[in-house]
Amino acid sequence: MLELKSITGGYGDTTVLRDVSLTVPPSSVVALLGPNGAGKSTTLRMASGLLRPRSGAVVFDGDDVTSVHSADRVRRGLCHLPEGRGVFPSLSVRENLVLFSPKGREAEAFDEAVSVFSVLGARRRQAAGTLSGGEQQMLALARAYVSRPKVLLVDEASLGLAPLLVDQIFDFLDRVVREGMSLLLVEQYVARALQLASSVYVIHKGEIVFSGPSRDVAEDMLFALYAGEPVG
Amino acid sequence: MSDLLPFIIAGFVSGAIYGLAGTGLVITYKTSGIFNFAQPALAAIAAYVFYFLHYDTVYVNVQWPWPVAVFVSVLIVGPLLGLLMERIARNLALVATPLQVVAMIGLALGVIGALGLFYRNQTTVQFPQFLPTSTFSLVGTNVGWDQLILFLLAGTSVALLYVFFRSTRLGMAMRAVVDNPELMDLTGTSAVSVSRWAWIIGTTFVAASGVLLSAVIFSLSGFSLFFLMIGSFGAAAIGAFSSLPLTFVGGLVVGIVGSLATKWSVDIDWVVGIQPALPFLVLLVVLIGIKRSKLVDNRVVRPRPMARSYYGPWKVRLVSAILVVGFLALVPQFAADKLTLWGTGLIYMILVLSLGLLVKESGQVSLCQTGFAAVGGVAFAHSVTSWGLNWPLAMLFAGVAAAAVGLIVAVPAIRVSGVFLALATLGFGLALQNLFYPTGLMFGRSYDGLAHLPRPSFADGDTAFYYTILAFVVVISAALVAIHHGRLGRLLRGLGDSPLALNTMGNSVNSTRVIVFAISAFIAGIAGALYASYFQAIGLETPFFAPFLSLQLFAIVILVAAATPWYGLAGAIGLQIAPAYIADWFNLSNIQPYLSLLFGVSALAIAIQADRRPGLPQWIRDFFERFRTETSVGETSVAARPRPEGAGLEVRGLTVRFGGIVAVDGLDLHAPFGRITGLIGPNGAGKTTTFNACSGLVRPTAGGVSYLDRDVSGLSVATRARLGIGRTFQRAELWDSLSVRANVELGREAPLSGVNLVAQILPRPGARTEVQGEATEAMRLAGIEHLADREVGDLSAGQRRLVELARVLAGPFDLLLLDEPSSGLDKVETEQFAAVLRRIVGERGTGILIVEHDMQLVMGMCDYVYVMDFGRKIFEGTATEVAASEEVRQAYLGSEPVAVGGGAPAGPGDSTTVPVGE
Repeated sequence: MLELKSITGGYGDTTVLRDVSLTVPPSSVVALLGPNGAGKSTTLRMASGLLRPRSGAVVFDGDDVTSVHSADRVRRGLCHLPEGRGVFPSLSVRENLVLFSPKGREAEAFDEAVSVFSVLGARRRQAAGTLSGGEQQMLALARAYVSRPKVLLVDEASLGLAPLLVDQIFDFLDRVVREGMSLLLVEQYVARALQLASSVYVIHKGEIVFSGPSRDVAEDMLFALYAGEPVG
Repeated sequence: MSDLLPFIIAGFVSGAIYGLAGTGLVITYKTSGIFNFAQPALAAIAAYVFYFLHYDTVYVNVQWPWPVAVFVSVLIVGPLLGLLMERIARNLALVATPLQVVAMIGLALGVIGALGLFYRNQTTVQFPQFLPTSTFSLVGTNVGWDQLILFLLAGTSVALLYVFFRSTRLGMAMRAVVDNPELMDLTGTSAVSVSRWAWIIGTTFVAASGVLLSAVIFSLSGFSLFFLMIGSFGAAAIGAFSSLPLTFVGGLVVGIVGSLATKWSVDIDWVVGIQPALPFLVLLVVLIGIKRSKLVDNRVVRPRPMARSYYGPWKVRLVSAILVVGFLALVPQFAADKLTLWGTGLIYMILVLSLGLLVKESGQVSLCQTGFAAVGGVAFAHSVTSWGLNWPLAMLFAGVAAAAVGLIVAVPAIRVSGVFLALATLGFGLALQNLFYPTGLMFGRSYDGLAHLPRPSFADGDTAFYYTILAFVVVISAALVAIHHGRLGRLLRGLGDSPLALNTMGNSVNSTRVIVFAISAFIAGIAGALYASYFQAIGLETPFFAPFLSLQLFAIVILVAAATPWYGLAGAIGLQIAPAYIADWFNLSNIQPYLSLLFGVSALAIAIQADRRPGLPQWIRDFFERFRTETSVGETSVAARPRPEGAGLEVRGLTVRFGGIVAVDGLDLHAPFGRITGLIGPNGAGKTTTFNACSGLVRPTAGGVSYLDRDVSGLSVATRARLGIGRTFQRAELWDSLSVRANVELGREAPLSGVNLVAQILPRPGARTEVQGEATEAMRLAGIEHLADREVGDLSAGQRRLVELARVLAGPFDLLLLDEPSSGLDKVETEQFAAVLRRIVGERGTGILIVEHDMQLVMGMCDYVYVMDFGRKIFEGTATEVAASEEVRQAYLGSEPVAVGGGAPAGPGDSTTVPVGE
């Protein structure tokens, strides 16, 4: 469904990713794990087109989309929820949802979003910037639902949220997966990510150092990696 | 009341047009972040196109009916100009703010010059009324149908735009795109196309307002329209540069109050200037009074500051200076007939230099330099003629008077920066011109202004006075070069690149801002006084005092990359001397439009290229560099620092809230001297916010911070730094256009200068050696001596980290807050880094509080570790205890699998397992 082929690149002259290859098969959940600064967000940005690789290719739904603008990739069915609160703070909840939905489906989109996160209905006129952190994240996640993508890229959706909210977020991800969406997940809660994902890539200093089914991933190995030990 | 009504109605009409233009301005600013200073010129283009199509009988002579002419000039020319502007704005998006301002000013100057060329013979074109002029009666007052039509047209357009903004998808996208262009792309709407539509609509509004305004004032000249249209900046300010309805209301307020002022000015003398000055006063007042948070430059990617000018070896500069002064001293011999021109040129040079101090050194923007010159000229004239002050004292008084006005302008400079400071100073200069120039307060009541001003008794003749001016040029240039090489120069450059870094190093940036405005205005005042004395008369038409000149001065100072004082010379030649010679050569009566066109086009072209400004070619620099003698910093012994005593840093019950989000929740923490304390936790746990509360960048909602057993919660950022709290940033906050050595030295020097005005200009004897010694030592500790002469902006992320570390080590700090210092360092650098920290803790007894993600580093280095999650402390203990703690492990890796509500847990076996990798 989504395939990164030997991606090398970064910001300006700095190389962040070196020869990163990764596959998200149809209707599957893939987790991308690794310590801070390893290149996880950069990998997602390459996939969604916010960054262009210096070499390598991005293939989506059978087409080479390496030089396709990110807005066009969205229309082809690729949805990227970036790190941080992916909402427009000065617009109201309702207006955010209008922009999130595919053209011509604005009205239905709002109802759909409320059906998943009912709190958004009550807050529809409120500026997104004044919502609580959890509510903002729900609004951001609602984009993944109303835009009906084929592949969803999620970057640290649980960041800075209280455990109860994290539960809700994983409920949501579980739901969209069961509805047939493919998922590429970057997540600091490793245990939860492993629970949801069928396969795992581990990235360290811009290179993929492990890939395999999630049941083969040992938490100890990850903790060692996070604590700076080299992975054999 | 009935006698006021006609004025109110007229005010409604012009106000609605201001509102229309202001809305056009606001939507382009909101979507692109570029403030369109060229907007008045765009309005003029539309007005001229309308004129040519409808009235002109000389050049075009088609005389289309007015609806057709309006259609073409507004709905065709407007969008085309919008497309062009979007292209320019996109090129400027990543350019330093002063260059953005220059590009827009250049565009405006170029357009005005081009329009001037078209109508060389008539500066003002009659613009007859094209709307029906018959009237109807409204509560006893005759109202023109044209007035009603104009008001309805403007009002309806803005109302429609408002509805469009609120209820259509594209309108919402326009409001949102500036928040986060990247997210806009991720929602499937291209940010560039949103911005393009905004420029098309905005510029069409501006075009419409140009045509309508010309119809209201019955005449057309690029120049007068320019200043009238700047009135819409005031309307936009009332709308806080973001609200469309408020901008329209702001336009109405400006229009109506201005119109009433016209009525009252018949009876009350001092009201005369209010009507034309009103928009600028509004601009100034709003920028001083508005909540600062509304006016931040929220560009996600900060542009690199402009490159610093090249300063050659002192031998080369001294020889060049002697040659140039020698040449200038010979001018009376070979150009006696043009002596006045050369003398005037040199006075221009002083004015350019005065602005350069502000702009080139401290990176601030000022568009009112000629206002200071006017104040100086007037102060000189009055003190000589009315009070009988002698010439030297009168000159001094002129400088002091201008400096006092400079202090007033420093008030907005403290509050706002970048494009808003440009607007505030532009507003100040224009308000001064409109409010005070014509009222007699400045230039008296006589039509001739202030005449019969004296020259000094020792230099009454033209040649003698020329040499007097030359002497002023030499002294002022020398003073400015001294400032450049002195402490104030270093502080100003730090201020220009990153006020935040300077402030957290212990310098009270506001006092530095005030000083530089005062000195700059002082010198400009001297220039104004010299001009007054040279020509022995000044008046409100004196070209040297025209606000328009301020714009040209600013563009020259930004665009000419040469060092002090050479850019001043370039300004004198470019603004005065060369044009006069060229005009002579080609026998042109009025060279101004050509100059304006050339100047504008090159300003725009250069600004878009950002750092490729005209300066000395590399091969000449290489040649000059051969004459540089190494001034080696001798092996200065660094005095051993007294070991700090006391409790170190204590955080008690610290709570920080941002809106609905609790970033830090009741945190207690202690970072004693002589120990490395770790602060760890997952992303978003509140670690950086805790640092910001400790260094004073955020105010705690509850709880507090104490240092050396003293509550520092109420102290400013700089004061805390001077007490001994130093810090680094998660994203290294350096002075990018300066060398590594300059960065590290300023780390020591900024706290020495502190808040004391004298100490900022004159260091105590021996301070320089001490600073250099500490800097060398700190660079050696951090292992970056080999980088000392590199420009910081060229370094890698890891090297920047080490420069920031060296800077904070050079400073007199006993407690260091280091925010993720190892990110960007490789393994070897990280080990070196840890060794340096251990060493200074051992040798100096420094206390360190470190936020770090590299767990290995934390475990190996920290004596004691605090663990945060969700803004709370979840664990504290020694490194070994932390490593063994199950709570910490869970905070990092997440809790054990829990049942996911609403369905069966999606275990690994439930999904399709796909083989990946080898």
